[in-house]
Formats: sequence, C-alpha cells, structure tokens
Amino acid sequence: MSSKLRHFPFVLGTLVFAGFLLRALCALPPFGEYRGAYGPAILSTMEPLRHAQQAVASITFDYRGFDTLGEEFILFAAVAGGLLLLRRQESEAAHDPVDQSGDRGGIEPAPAVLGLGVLMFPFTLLLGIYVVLHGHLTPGGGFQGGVLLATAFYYVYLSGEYHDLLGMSRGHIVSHLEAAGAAGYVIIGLLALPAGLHYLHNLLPLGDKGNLLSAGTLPLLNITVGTEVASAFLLLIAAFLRQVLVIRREKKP
Amino acid sequence: MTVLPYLIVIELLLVGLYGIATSRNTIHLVSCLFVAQSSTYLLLLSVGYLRGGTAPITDEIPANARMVDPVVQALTLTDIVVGATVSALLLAFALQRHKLTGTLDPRKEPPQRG
Amino acid sequence: MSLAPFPVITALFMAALLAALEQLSSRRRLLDVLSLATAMAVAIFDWQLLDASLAGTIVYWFGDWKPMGGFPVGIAFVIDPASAGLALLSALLTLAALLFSWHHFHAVRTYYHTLMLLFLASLQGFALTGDLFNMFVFFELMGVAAYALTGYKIEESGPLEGALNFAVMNSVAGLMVLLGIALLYALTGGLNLAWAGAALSGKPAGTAVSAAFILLAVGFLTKGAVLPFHFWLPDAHSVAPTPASVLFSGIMVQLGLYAVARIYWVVFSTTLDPDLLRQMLLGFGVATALVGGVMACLQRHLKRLLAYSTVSHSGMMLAGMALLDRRALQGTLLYIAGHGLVKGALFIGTGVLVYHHRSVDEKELHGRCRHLRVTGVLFCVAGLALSGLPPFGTWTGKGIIKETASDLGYQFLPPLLSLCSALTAGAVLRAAGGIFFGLGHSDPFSSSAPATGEEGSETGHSRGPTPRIMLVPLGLLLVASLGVGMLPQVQQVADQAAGRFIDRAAYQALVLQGTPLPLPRPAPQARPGVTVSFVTTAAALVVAALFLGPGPLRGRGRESVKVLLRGPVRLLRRVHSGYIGDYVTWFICGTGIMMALAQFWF
Repeated sequence: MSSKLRHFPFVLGTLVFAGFLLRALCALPPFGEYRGAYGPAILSTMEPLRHAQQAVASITFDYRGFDTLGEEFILFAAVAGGLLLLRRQESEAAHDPVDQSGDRGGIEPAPAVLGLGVLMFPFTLLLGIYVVLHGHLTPGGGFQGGVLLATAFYYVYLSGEYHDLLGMSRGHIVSHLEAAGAAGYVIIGLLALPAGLHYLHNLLPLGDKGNLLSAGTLPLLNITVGTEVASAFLLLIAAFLRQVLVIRREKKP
Repeated sequence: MTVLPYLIVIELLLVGLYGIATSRNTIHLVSCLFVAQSSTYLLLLSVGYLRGGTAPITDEIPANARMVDPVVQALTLTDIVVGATVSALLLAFALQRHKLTGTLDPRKEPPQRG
Repeated sequence: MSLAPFPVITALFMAALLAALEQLSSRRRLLDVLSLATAMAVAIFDWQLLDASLAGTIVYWFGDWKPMGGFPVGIAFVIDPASAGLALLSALLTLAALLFSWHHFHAVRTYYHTLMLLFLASLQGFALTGDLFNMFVFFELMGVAAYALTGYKIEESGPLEGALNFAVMNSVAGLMVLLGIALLYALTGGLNLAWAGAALSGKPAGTAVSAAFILLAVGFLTKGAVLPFHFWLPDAHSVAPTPASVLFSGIMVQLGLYAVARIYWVVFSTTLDPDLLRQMLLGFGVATALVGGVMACLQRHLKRLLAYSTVSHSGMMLAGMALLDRRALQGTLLYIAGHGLVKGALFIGTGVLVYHHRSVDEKELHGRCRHLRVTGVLFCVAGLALSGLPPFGTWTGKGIIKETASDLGYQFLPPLLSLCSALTAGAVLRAAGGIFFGLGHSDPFSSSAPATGEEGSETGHSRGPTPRIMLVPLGLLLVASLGVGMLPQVQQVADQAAGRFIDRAAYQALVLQGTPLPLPRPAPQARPGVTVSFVTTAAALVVAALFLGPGPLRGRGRESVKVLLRGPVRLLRRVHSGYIGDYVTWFICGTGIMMALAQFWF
C-alpha cells in the first residue's frame, strides 16, 4: 500500500473504533466513584487476616500472588530471550571499545562523572535494598527495588568503568542469582503443600503490623523478586551494552 | 469533567497506534507501542479511582478514610513490567535487524510478501 | 494433595533450573533429558487432572483464598475436561517437539530448552486458569517466550522480521485484552470469570458490556489468527524453528479461540444475543477459512504454506465454535486435538527437510527428496489426514461440526468447510508430491510466491539417513491423531467437556459457592458419516492433481485461467504485505467493524 492509501482505512477504522470506545467508556460508572467489591474486600481483610498494611503489596504477593509468579517469569523469559537474541554471532568478533572521536588516546571519564558515580553507586544500592525490604510496608517492593538496584550498577557504566560491569555479568553469578530468584518464588509457594494447604498459602508467622518482619511470606517473596529483577535488568543492560561497545562485525565474506 | 480521563485514554491509544501504523523506524515503533500501552495504565487507574481517596496503606490514617482501589494498582504494576519486558525484546529484534540489513525502517528491505 | 498447580509450577521451576546449568560442560544431553522429563511429568499431571475432572470439575484456589461471602478474592484454576484436555494436548505436542530436537537441534546454550519449558508453562496456565487477569499474564508469558523462539535464527532477516511483526501485533492484542479487562472490572468489580458472569447475568447488554466482550475477543482472536488479525501468523510460523512451529500451529493459536469461547460462555452468554453473535463469528470464521485456504495454495515456501493452512483451519474451528451449540463445541474440541496433532506432524516433516537440504522451498526441492521414503509417506498420510480422512481425529471433529451445522439450518457451512479442507490439504499434497515423488512441474501461481532460499541450519551436521529420533515423534503424532478419531473414550471426554463448558450455572455455583451441580448427561455417541469425508479427501487429491498434473493449469486453458485469476491473486498478495503498519491498519479496521456491529446489534 502506498502511504496515502494506508492512511485512509486507518483514519476510517480509527474513527469508528474511537467513537464506539468512547461511547462504551461513558457508559461505565462515573469517574471517581469506584464502587467495586474487590478493593473493599481486600482493605477490610488484610489487617485481620494477614497483619498487613500495604494493600497493593498484599494483593501482589498474597491475594493474587500467582499472577506475580507469572509476571516474574515473564521477565525471566524476556531475559532468556534477550540474551538469546543478543548472542555473539559467528560473523562477529569482540573488540576492545575504542573512542569514537579518535583524537583522544584512551577513554578517560571526567573526574566529576567518576566522582558522582562513586557517590551515587552506594546510595542507590542502599535505596534499592531499602525499597525491596520495606515493600510490604511502604510503596515499593521487589519490582521497584530491583530496578533501583540494577540502576546502581548502571552508575558503574556511566562513570566509565564498563569493563567492570561487563565482567560482572559475564561471570555466572548474576545469571545464577536470577535463576535463584525465579526458582525461589516457586519454592516459597511450595512450602505450604506439606502442611496440606494450597500452593502459595501464606503460612509463615504474621508478626505485628508495621514491623519489618510481618505479613508472613511477603518480605521473602519481595526479596526473591528483588533479586530476580535486579539481576535480570543487569543482564539485559550488559547484553545491550556489549552489543554497542564490544561486538563488532567482521568483514562480510 | 468525568469524561476527561477516558478522552485521554483514547488519545494515548490512538496516538500510539497511529505511530505504529506509520512508523519508519523500529525504535520509534517500540516507543509508540509503549505510548499505546500507557493508555491501559490510565484506564485501569481511573476505573478504580475514588474521589478524595488516599493511597491504600492503612498506616497512620483515620479509621474511616476513603481509599482508592488497590487492585487496579497491582494490575497496573504487572502491566508495566509486561510492557518493559516486551520492549526489551523488541529492541533486541530491532538491533539485530539493523546489523543485518543496515536499516531501522520496517518498510525497507521488504520481508516476505503474499 | 491436589495436583492442580503442578503442571505450571513444575515447568516454571525446571526452566529456572535449566537456566542455572549454564556453565556445565557436556550439558546438552542433560538439558535434553531434563526437559523431556519435565514435559513428560507435565503430561502425566495433565492426564491425572483430566481423569479427575471427569468425575467433577476441580476448583483450586491459590493461597487458600476461597471466596469470602461469595466474592472471589484470589485466583482459581478451574479444571474441567476441556481445559485439562487442551493442557494435555499442549504437553504432548511439547513432548513431540522436544523429541524432534533431541541432540540434533542446534540449541544455543541453555536458552532453547528454558524458553520451551516457559512456553509449556504458559500454555498450561492459560488453559487451566479461571481468572481473567491471570489469563492475561499467561497470554503475555506465552507471547514473550514465543517471540524469542521465533527470532531464534538471528543470522537471517526473515526470523527477525517475523518475530517483530508477531511481537507488535500480539502486544497490540494484549492491549485490547487489557482494555477489555478494565471495562469488565469497572462493570462487575471482579476479575474471576464466574464472578463477572454472575454480576452481569440478568442485566441488559449495554454498550459497555458489548464493548468489553469485543475488546477481549479481538485480543484473543488475534492470537487465534482470525481475519483480519491473522497477518502476523504466516510471517512468524514460517520462520520459527521447527519445534516452536509445532507448538505455535498445534496449540497456541487454538488456545486463543478457546479463550474467546470460555469468556463468552462463562461471562457473556446470558447477556449478549446469541443469534447475532453466531452470525458475526460465523462470518469471520468462514472468511478466515477461505482466505487461508486460497493463500495456502499460492505458496511455495512449505512452512508458509502450512502456516496459511493453520489460518484456514483456525477459521473452521471458529466457525464450529460460533454455532454456539454443545455438539458443535464437542466437534470443535475434537477437531482442535486432531488438527493439532496432524499439523505438528506436518511441521516435523518439514523439519526433516530442513535437516537434509536446508530448504523448504517447494521448487528448489522438487524431486530431490525421493530418498526420504518414510518421511515422504508419513508426510502424505498427514496431508490426507488434514483433509479429514477417516478415521483420523480431524474426521470425527469436522464431521460432527458439519452435521450440527446442517441440523441448525446452516446448510452452506458443510460444503464451505469441505472446500477449505480440500484447498489446504490439496496444497500440502501438491507440495509433498513434488518434493518427495518428483511429480508434476512448477505451476504458475505458487511460482511467483516468495521464498527465502536458504534456511538457516537448525542442526549441526546433516549427512546420512534421517535420525530415527526425528521420525519417532512424526509417527507418534499421527498415531495419536488416529486415536483421537477412533477411540470412543475420546469422544465421550469431548462430549463431557462440551457439556460442562456450556453449563454456566454449574460453573458459577461450583466456583462461587463450591456446590457441585449434577453433571450433564452424556449425549449419544456421534458417528459422523464417512462418505462426505472421503469426498473431501478426493477433492483434496483433485486439487493436488490440478496443480501437478496436465489439467487446465497446464494445457491450453492455462493462459485463460491465469488471466482470470491474476487480479484476485495479486490483490491477495498485496494485502499480505509484510509491513507492520498495514497489519495495524487492518487490525484497527477489523476492531472498528466488530465494535460497530456489536453496539448496533446487542
């Protein structure tokens, strides 16, 4: 189709679609007056039943914990797929990174960048750990904290030490951590089965509401997810960076 | 203005889909997909919104406070993770394709037809 | 201890474990053995679950979150014979695919095995779940694993293009599903299918309800490759490595249709007008079947040909489902099983061709595979089975659909289904005749079709005879398809599955209150006639002979036939342009049309 021809059916289809979608959305209960049963059911039961105070974490890891298991493995699949796709091909070779500008001898990060990187790295790492550990108490959790943790390692790259970053992910530790995080969620769910309970039953002691160790398995699940997410993003970032920085194409035969 | 959130949902969706339909650059296309995806975040959140409601965390708030629906927030969280992972894969496709064909334009180097 | 969660969690755990075997040297055998054992274990779990579900549908609440005061706060697996049967089918196909890839398949590190197991887990979860959002999660897991498998051969641009088109279209479909979920959640306040159905029942069908259904249906029909949402399928299935194609065409597409059926019956069946829905879905199904059949005849790239045949058969299944009738549904379920096994066998046959010649181009391979006797014969048998040759599973399934269609007054449907079967099977037989037996010449229509010359090697070395281990799954799948057609037990299971599937009151009572209602009474055994099926098979042979033999396509009439058909053929080819932008355009048009029809009618 030529581009003009392409536009005509698109605009027509879009108008019809948008019109009817808007009509449907306007037929919903009015905005700002949520009256569903699900939210109240959880808000009223999570404290007495689970000593939990953060409803979103409670839903993510307890009430609908099985969704999160699937979600974690979506990320896991994406990492396996991403690494599969970004593998080094036979026609490519790894080269040391070179400075594209050409008028400098080697790559020297500016002192300010290096300093800021050194400053930000531990700070972000700590923040990430905090967010993971307090996921069941405050906004945050394994996914958010895991991304923060991976970001911390991104500062390593930004301050010019990408050899360290690539070396870190080339070893098997990170991929083992990732697999352990993913498998850990499955195993924590299994704990309930010998007791005759259903999969993913929250059977650990519930503790006192608001404490770091409370709400049963929630902190543990947050940690497994945090581990998985952090290492997953680290692996992905490193794989993309390696494509850009290290892998060069050999001359075509 | 109770229609406003829904109008923005539709706008985001259409902007994203238009971008995908006319894109000449795969990376642009992935971004457009993300824009379209964000319409679902907005719809989910607005469906569970309660006027005057606070965040659904029962720490140090009055006993009978109104709270917004936490379920849609959990769903949105899942949705965001899904969107991010899919775009990582899409970018990997785009990168490898660029290495092979030297172009990011989905209309260059026509794939199989018919 | 209930086995309900095990099909999913076994596969997920083993996927994580295999990924951790990264640095083991000589890990290949171990990976093969472990993944095969996992698929086997999952198949056994599914078998047990199917067996148990026949006595009564199993409801399994994760985390023991049983409904509180009738409101489901947790996620449930609802395992009835239909869902357990489809899960079993997907496990068997995975088993066959992994057997095929045993040792010879070029597996990159641990990724191939990990992704196959993740894919298996997602198929299981998608089939078994009774929760709308959980369905979406497994839909996306299925997608992510499938995109990565499609783009497996990064040395060529074809797989990358195909994977990109696949991923973008399915993500857009996921978007629609999510919008539908949001609408349904706003209307009913719950995510459990049974709850949503209970909340909607008795209410008039408003614009929001019909839009929610259409958005969900469009999303899952994209997975089900229904016109005009099918464009991604040929691009993806034709370039994916063989084991992945087996699963894509054998079960993934059909699960999309299953989701639409499940959502319709549990949630919307008392709210939406069945007569209008029947006509709409029948229209889309028949159009898909026809376009897929014609496009299959126009291909020379064997995998692409098979992919279009999947489109066509998906349309037939949608047509069978769209009759919204218990017996038709029984036929459709049987047809899904019979077709999936046969299609898997056909894809494995093409995998053998890739192994020997690194090509699946009909023209290039013409007459070059005479030495592959066993493969050739099995491939032809599978081609005949595709047309519905008795007593294969395709025969009973399609026979029941056709007879029900006639009984319901849709006289036009049986001949149409026969025609499409004959077209797709004829195309397969034509290709088989040329490749394995050197019959005929190149015909004028498929010659102009696209063909990516060299297939990337899927395997290491490829000298000598075909490894037995590649032929074993090919034979087993055909035997299994025969079993689906011949064993009366399979029919009884399908009948029970269909009866349970459409009984929404029993489903709701069981999930929400936990009270089992009496099981549907078994319907009398159906024995579809053989005459029509033999005629269809003969018609398929005629189609193949038309292309191969000295007929109107060869002799004097050739020019006139060519002139007559050139226009439509060119148009069809132009529409399947391979550009993602066009696909999205058609997608939006199709969605708009469906929304408009639904809102005017319901």
